[in-house]
Amino acid sequence: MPAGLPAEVAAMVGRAWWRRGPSSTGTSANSCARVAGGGAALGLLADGARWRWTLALRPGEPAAAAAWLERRGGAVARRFEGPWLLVGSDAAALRSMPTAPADSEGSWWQPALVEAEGAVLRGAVDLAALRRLRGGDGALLAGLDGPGRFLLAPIAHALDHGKLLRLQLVAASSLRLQVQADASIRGAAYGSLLPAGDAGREVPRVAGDVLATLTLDRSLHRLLAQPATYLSPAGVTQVDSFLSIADGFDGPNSSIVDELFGRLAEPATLFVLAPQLPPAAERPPLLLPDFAACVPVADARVEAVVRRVLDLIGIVVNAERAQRRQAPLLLRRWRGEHGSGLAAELPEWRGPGAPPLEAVLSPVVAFGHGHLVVASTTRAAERVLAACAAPEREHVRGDLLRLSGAAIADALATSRDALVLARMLDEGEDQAGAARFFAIADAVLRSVQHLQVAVVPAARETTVTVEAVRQR
Amino acid sequence: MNPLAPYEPSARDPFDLRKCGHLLRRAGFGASLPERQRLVREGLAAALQHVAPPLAEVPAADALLNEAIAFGSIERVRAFRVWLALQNTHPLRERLSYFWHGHFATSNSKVQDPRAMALMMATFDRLGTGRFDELLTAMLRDPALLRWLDNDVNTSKQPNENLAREVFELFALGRGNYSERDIKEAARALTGWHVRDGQFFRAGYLHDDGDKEVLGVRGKLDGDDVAAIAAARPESARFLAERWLRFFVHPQPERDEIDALAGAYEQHGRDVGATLRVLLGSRLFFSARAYRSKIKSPADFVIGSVRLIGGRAQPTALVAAMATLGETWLEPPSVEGWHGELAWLSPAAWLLRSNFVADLLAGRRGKLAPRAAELLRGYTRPDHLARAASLFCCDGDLSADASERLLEVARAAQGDRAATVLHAATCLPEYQLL
Repeated sequence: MPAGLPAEVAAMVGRAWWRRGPSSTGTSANSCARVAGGGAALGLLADGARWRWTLALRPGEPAAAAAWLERRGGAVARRFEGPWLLVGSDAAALRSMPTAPADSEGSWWQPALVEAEGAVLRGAVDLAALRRLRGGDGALLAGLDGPGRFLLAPIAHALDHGKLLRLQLVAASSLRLQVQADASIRGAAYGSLLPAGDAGREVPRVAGDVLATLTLDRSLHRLLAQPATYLSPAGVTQVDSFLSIADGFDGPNSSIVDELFGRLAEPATLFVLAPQLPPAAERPPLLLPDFAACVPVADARVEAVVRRVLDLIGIVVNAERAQRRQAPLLLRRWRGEHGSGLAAELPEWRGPGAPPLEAVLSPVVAFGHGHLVVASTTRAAERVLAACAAPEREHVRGDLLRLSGAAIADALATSRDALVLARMLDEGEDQAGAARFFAIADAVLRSVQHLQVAVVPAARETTVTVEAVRQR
Repeated sequence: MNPLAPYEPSARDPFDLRKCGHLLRRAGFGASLPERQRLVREGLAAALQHVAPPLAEVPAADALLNEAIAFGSIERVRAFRVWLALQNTHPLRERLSYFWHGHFATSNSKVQDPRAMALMMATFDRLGTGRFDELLTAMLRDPALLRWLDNDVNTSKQPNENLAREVFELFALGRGNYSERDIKEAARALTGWHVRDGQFFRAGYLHDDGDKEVLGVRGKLDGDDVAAIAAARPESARFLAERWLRFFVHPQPERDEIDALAGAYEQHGRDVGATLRVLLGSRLFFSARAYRSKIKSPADFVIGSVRLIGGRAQPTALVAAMATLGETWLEPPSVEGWHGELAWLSPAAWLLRSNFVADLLAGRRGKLAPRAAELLRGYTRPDHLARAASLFCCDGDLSADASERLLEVARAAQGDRAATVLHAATCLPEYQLL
């Protein structure tokens, strides 16, 4: 159980655990050993609209296992096959099972499906059969909107076209779930948004408290240049609408697609960084973390285009703010230790009540060390530009999302009261109930050092790895 | 006979569940059956104390205000207001804030500032039960109202009359009690009454500091003077008395009732809370003329239904339900506020109300607790179920025809019978009345 879990929650979990134990054949661990001490294999079969399941168990104590099944009613079919207990959701499911184990070691698992040494759990899913049930190929990718496709196309394509999905869970120093489908987007049209090969790339490594990092290896330039290749007709219209406005910012001087996005490279990395705590009196009740997106620059001439576009956007934004009788953003040239750019700041907050969310923001677009950085604060920009300047790099294959439990918990704690009220309003909980929810979330987050999700589309297969490392 | 003579319960005219429910619906947003039954046992004085306790004895309404405005979302501010109404810590304060919101009707559709809207409502919470002149002075300095009525462009060179006109017509005096000249002069007095950094700002260089004459008072008047002059007029007392009678008692108050309440207002030093305590304890308030004489607004219906069940539900879901029924808080349809009464009900609105309660009882409007079955636990016979639903929803005061229909529903109910019968009770005409 995560350390720091509120006592009443820990007690609740403990009671539930205790109730489950004696009601079967002793404690839960003993029950498992008696029923399936030698392992278990679960199968799911689709039969028209109906699902059947099978279970091959190698009980530690066959008699105890039979008694355990007996207590769960006579709704299932079963038979002993030597030391194995075979169970089916009905007689037909039981008949569908092999009559002998797959290897001389007595394993009921088909090793041809997943070879995973040391995996505590292995699984295989017949994707083709699942798709037949759902009625056809290409349904997932086609159902995604523009941003959804940009983010999830490799996974959606693999699920749409793969035959077999293999899963394995390895519990060692970390808990690692690897899911692999035997299809890759690289051969498809959408694959041209990805870099050639899957050797991976180097991205800046930001030091200090980083709540989350998301690296995406995709070409936004190609997508905007040829939207019809990648997007649905509705998505193409959205891109055209965006460009009809965006191209107006720099007018005839440049094309946003070719001379701005086309002069940037991949991969793009988004860093979510721990916020700097202002003095209590100046602290908004809801304190956002710092955000900074970083992309490599392919052609330094992009800087002039970005500066011109930002100058115009600043004027438009301030005109809108003036119409709403809001104080204008103060636009200024910004120069940090590792780069320079254009920053915007709100005038010092002098209004009634606690400062608003945006009072601590100072959005900035900066260039330095071959990178473009767009950040919510100048401090975040400085941190990421420093990382761009540093020789240490992180090697990333495919897309990567990494979350840090303790840093996220710290960030949530700075806005606890506002989040508690939001939960009261959204969920109808009382103050104590909402506070307890965040206490539990805090304990769970602090128990996870980091959680990482990696998506690697290789030449023939796509692999998704989810790895959780517990805080020691 | 003085219509505001105090109501004195007697054996012939007791303070019963019917009267207690009436008080709690009109001076708050309703209460659960156990709460109503307790107050009936404790008597009228305890019930009046319950709806209007001394402000110092209850938590301040703005304890979580900063958190409510932290997200910069008007939806969150609306949900916060609904949450406050559900808390019911000071029923009359919450009810009066609802009244003042309709009185000084200001919409975020133009103000575009959730913080300013939230702070305006907080001003109603803070000053709404006190002296009206203090409230009016605060409102003429309120950033949301100043923006809503364009006073932030009212300058000595180009006076804007919007705010001045509404001060007299809608806020303090009513039509026929001022002249066009008074409006022009008051507009001059309000020049430079602006907003800066989200708060009131007296822009001296834009203020017309010449002599003006407003409602017969001459001098170098400014916005505060306009508020004080208007609030001190005898016409203001009658104007407010009529508004309060329409809101708390009857949609069409009589002249003697207005005169009596205006007199009480003057007697009590123009203190709103003290005046309304007299009204809420009067024979007029508990009279047959007042009882079920008004139609529940969407807020009364939605918040009242949750309060009546004595449970909790998601304020954001309730805000959405109120909007569907035609009432979006902080976004009144015009400067005149919501017209209310018959405008609230139509066949379509009734159907939407019915669907809201069905969803609520089925848990589709958020986590309603307790569930209907728990509320009516122990009632199994159809006649007992029907009687319990009648008590829960209508204080047990139903016509013979309505009672019979409820009994038929209870007899025919399948599945979640408690929810079915409670739902049926909330569909009755009696339940649509305040």
